[in-house]
Amino acid sequence: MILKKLNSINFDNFPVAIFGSGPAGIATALELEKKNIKCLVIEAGGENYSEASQEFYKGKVIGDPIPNLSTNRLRQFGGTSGHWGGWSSLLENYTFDLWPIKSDELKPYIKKTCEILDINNQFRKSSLNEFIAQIEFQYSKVKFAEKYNNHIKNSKSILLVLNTQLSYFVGGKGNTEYAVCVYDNVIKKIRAKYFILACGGIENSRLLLWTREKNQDFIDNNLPIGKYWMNHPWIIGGAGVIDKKKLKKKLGNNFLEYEGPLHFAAKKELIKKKKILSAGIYMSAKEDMKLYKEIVKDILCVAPEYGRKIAAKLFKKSLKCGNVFMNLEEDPNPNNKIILDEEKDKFGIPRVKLYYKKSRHSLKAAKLVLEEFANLCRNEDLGRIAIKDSIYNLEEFDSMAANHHIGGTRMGVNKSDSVVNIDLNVHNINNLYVSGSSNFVTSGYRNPTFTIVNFAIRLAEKINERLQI
Amino acid sequence: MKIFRRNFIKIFFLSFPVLFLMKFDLLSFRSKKTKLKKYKNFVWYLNNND
Repeated sequence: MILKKLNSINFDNFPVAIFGSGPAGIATALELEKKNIKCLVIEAGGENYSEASQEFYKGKVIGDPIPNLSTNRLRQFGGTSGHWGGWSSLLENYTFDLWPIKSDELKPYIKKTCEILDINNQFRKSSLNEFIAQIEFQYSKVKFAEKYNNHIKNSKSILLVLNTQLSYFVGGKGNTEYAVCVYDNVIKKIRAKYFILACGGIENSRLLLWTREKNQDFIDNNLPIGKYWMNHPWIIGGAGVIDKKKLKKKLGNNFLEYEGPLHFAAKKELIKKKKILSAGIYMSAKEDMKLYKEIVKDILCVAPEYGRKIAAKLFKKSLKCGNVFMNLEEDPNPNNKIILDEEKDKFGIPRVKLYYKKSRHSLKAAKLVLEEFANLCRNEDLGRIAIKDSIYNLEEFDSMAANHHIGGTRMGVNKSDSVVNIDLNVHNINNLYVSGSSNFVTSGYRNPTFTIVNFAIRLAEKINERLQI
Repeated sequence: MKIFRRNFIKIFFLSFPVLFLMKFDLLSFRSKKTKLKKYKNFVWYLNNND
């Protein structure tokens, strides 16, 4: 059932209350429904996009620029899946090296994740050499509100309440008693056995920080809530040309034929050898003709012999020519953090203040990964790649987007550097869970949504196990 | 027959270093040297004969 506002229904007979109806919240609700477990889903936004709702997401950024916090995430049914790009893949196995959980533990949930995201369960990888691989993403077109609207409307297990803002949790002695929610001027206490905070990579930290401020003895003061915040800088690392025909010839049957951008990534061996963060490389599926011609002209100037060969293949389908984009990993840094601002929103909840500084380590990885790729292309005559001189000289990179909000409630064993345990349970609070990319220990370079959904399904299993006891 | 076999073995072993050098040469030909060229705001990774 979907309610557009809080009404007199008794909300207290739900064993599980989920806050947030984005991919993390909905995936857990759907999995709980399969197990006949009723759950209440509270969404702060409405059924559709509204500027008034987005206004609640405004915040300050101190340090390096991050695109507007009220536009790069959506406060509505379905959350940010309402405008995501759909790139889906589990994080690289080696990304989990510093996590307290290994990728094998998430494998049982991959099939279900693919079903939710309507994608093929196929994430191939093909080595180009010891250090670089061609990789495959799947592209999901699922917007959670569109796909699951009718399903939830007809569900007897899931009750979704829209336009209701979670303010904070109240509890003590390691137990959450209720959640304080606001609708217009109505304040409602919501009780459940288990509470799941799934409001996104910034809101999760904000609401936990506000909870800690509202009841001092409830959440351990030493938990690093809001710290180790990360994103994926999305940059233009360079430009170049790749002959897809030659790439196919080199890889033979191992060439990954798929629609969409041409993806490559650093292998674990390169990351280990150069002691760098990971990075992904891709070239757009659609050519920008103006840029295409410009790059061919540039190649003719810097490499006339090679340029002539390229010019002979001009505009042939096999010739990929354009910007070389990169998705970079950021290292977890406690100084990149979310804190509560003095300014409050309409419901009296402090807005966020995000301290953020781009990492020099990401810049170094951008240079060394792209350099390895450029040398591979040159040596094997797969194409020619140029690196932006600001990256080559290790001066700076311009991030075009920072839409993946990671960290802030990171997972771990020690309370000194983590907020939740491997079951996503907040340390020392028996019945409060956090779900989403805010739990990620490291960011990797891959898009987070697949892993978010993966963990959300696993969380439903963990809650089910506890309810059976 | 014996003489033929002896000559064959002699020629084979005498030419072995030459074959080795040829192979080596082939390998060195394949590992082209990088030529970096700065142009506009980019540094191009090229081969010597580009």
